Amino acid sequence: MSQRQVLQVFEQYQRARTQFVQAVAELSARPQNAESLRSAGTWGAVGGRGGLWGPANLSLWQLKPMVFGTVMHHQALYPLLETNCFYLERQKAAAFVLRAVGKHSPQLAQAVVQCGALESLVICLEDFDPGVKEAAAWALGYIARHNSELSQAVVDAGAVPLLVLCIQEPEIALKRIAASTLSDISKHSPELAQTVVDAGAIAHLAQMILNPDAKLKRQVLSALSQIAKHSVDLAELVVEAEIFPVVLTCLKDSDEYVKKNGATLIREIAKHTPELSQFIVNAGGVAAVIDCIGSCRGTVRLPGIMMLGYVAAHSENLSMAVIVSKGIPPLCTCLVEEQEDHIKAAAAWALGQIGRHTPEHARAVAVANVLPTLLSMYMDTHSSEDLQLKTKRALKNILQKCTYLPALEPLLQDAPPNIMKHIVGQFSKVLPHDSKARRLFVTTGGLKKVQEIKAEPGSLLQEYINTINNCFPEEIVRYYSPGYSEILLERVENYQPVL
Amino acid sequence: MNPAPPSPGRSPGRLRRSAHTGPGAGGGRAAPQAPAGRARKRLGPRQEGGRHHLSPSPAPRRQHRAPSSLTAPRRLPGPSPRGCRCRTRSPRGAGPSRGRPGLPAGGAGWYGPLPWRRRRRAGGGSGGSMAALARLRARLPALREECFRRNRCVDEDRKIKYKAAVKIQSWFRGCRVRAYLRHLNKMVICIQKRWRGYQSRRYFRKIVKTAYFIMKMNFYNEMAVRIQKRWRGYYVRKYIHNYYALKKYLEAVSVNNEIVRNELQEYAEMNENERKKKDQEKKEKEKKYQARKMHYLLSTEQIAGIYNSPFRKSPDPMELLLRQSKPLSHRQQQVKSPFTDELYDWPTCKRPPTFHAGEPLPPIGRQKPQGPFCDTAEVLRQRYKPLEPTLRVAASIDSPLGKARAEMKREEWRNHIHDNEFLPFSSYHKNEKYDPSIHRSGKYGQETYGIKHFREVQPNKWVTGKDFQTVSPSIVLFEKFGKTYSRCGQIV
Repeated sequence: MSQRQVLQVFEQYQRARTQFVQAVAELSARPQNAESLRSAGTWGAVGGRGGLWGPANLSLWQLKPMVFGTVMHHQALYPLLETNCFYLERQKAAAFVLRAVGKHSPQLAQAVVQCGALESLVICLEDFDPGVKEAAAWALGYIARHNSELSQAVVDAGAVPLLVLCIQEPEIALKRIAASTLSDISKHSPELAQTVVDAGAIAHLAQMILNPDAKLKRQVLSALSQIAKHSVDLAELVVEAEIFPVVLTCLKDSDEYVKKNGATLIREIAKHTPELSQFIVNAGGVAAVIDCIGSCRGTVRLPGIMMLGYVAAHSENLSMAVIVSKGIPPLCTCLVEEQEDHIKAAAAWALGQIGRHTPEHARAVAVANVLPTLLSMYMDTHSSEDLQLKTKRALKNILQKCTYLPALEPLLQDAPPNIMKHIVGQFSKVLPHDSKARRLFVTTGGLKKVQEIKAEPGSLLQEYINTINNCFPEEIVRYYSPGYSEILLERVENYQPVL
Repeated sequence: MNPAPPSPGRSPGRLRRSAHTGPGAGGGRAAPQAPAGRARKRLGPRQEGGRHHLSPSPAPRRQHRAPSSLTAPRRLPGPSPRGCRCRTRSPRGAGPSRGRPGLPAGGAGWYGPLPWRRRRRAGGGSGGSMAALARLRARLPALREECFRRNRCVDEDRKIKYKAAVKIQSWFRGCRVRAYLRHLNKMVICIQKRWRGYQSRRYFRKIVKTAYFIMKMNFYNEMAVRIQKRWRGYYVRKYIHNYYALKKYLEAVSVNNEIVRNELQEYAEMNENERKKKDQEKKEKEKKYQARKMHYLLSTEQIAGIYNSPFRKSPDPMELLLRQSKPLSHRQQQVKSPFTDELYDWPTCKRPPTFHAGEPLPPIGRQKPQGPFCDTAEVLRQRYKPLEPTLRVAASIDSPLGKARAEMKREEWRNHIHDNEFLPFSSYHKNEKYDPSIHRSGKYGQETYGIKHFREVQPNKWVTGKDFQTVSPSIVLFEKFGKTYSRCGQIV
């Protein structure tokens, strides 16, 4: 009987404990409770050494590690690290808790750094167990993700060389997470990226581009693009790792994110100098990117579109190379198909960059029937401000070079005055020198439209219109001017027949 | 200009002299003024430049000479000419005397007295005898009369002559000065002509030179432009905007693009095939596993299985598969721990932790440690045993109704007082301190862990102020990498 009583008491205790931790876990799921939980001394109850926190109830502890993550009481972290050094699983779990804490906000991550977690995490990176390394790398990545100070703290703790060693480990998961951490570190500033480069990360990362694992590829490409985005030197270092024909295969990958990150990497390299862009063009990168744009939808397209814009912006030869690589039709489909305004804006910008160099370029763009689409987007009241600005600039860039009149004529109908100025300007430049075009201009009704334009006397538009009118005989101009039929009828009325 | 009848007492030389010199001096003084004025008029505005340095020079010279050579006017006894002269001359003489005050006065004072005294002495020495004197005295009134008359006559005559002389002299001198001025003007014009001609010629030469230079420069520039045009056109066409090279380049780019596209297409196809193959393999495996699992559906000699219907001509392919496969063994399936899902959601930890309990590491040539130790596997299993709560612990004893009641009770207890803080004064609660739970409020209660130092710290013995870097030296093991360990970290 007595034994049973004792057992009952302990069972009761166990049950209460479970219930308690469950309740705390549920409460701690809400951030607004964190402060009251903290002040009520939850940690002492849950995590104290003498409290419920013993090796025996490890699985209880595993129940909700998020308790500690959200409780935000960073006293917690020390006993965690200290008591948990003995067991691998606990190291892993401790790192998980740190990750969970550090993930939410820069302040929490700062708290993690201040209580000295980085040193322990770096020690964990030297561990033999890949799981522990992975957990530590992940926690470091979450800390470094927030801002450059935290990244700098991670770098100062000496994590980078060890992360580079982690990349070389055989475990795919560890590689993946180490690459992601390197990406998080190097994304903030050129100096941090330089530290990562100095640790020799680029060569190892570049080797892994051909890895069959898609998630690893994502992280590797992201890390490389984060390194390359800062400066010309870093981009050149990335290019020198001979990524070039290889990285194009990523654009054909079945995984969307691999495509996106690959295109981002190419974009980050291409945007720096004409030489790098030329290098990419020579390697066939533009064709691959164009295919990639054609084969996917949504945000995956965005870096590819921007890459085409950057390449075309550098010089007229590169722009011509984009045109020759049949880059314009996919961009047009992007412009038409996409739902989101920012992708449309990027496509419009890229088209503007392609068409702004010479009449030849502008003609290539205009032939693809882009101008009416751009104009309708510019006129659309639903499109965002950025899209309107981008389309306007693109239109202006293209129109100022365009001498292909058949493409310009449809625009005469409904362009607003600020666009009309450029269109009529192009007509006034071309028509005086081209008799066939003059004839066509009359027969297609362009002259009539020009007569209908209402321009303020003395404005640039009026000057252009006058130039155009001077190219034609006066009768024709008068014939097409609005209200001429009434004048004729009046003359009929007033005419005295000779008898 | 004959003098009047000569007087016996006084020598006519004196008169003549005075007549000669009087107007001479007057003319000498007057002459420079009149002709100068007339010359000025004649030169007129046309020779304004020449007049400026020519006219002043003769006038002062003449005035200067006059007092030095002609001294007579001071010695004339008659008051009238003197007074008249003085009166008439004074406005004109005022100019020189004002301009040079010392010269005329000093000159007259110096030359004046000498001839006067000598002539008086000579006149006194020629007297006759007493009789003659008496006779003379008798004739004296008549003589006086006579003298007076003659003097007046002479005076009148002198005046006329004097005026005539002045007229003649003024005409003559005027002519002379005008001629001189004409001459000067001529000279001046000559000089100016030469000088201006010289200057203009010089200027003209300069202009011609400049024009020539400009013309030359224009010509050279034009030629240079021609050369540069040719050269630049050639250079740019050859090296910068080489149309043919550009065309070739663009063609090469498009060819290259084709190649790249084909390659990538091939690569994508290859990937696709690989994926398909993998999927197929996976399906096959699944199927095989299924077959093994459902091996009991195999038909026997007596009873046909469901895949082997007697109404069919040939058995279902599944039946064949079942025949080939081996039934699953009756080993215990691994139980999935309910707690691991959330924690181990990262890639390496897809499965629940198995804790290596199943297969302990083989002993590495070591003796079993002495003592009554349990088996290692047993110990590990114990250590990593998942929580298996008893039914009573895991499940609640209470009925759902009881639970609901208890929950309601708790709810009531929670909610019968509202949570809002009671704030008596606006600043009261600021100083309020949180009163901690019993657990934390004890005298030896929980230390703030990690804030206190556990070791004694003596900063004065430190070598540097900075922390030591923990990174590089701690990786001794990595130097043995690849020598003692295989790539996977296992012992060779």
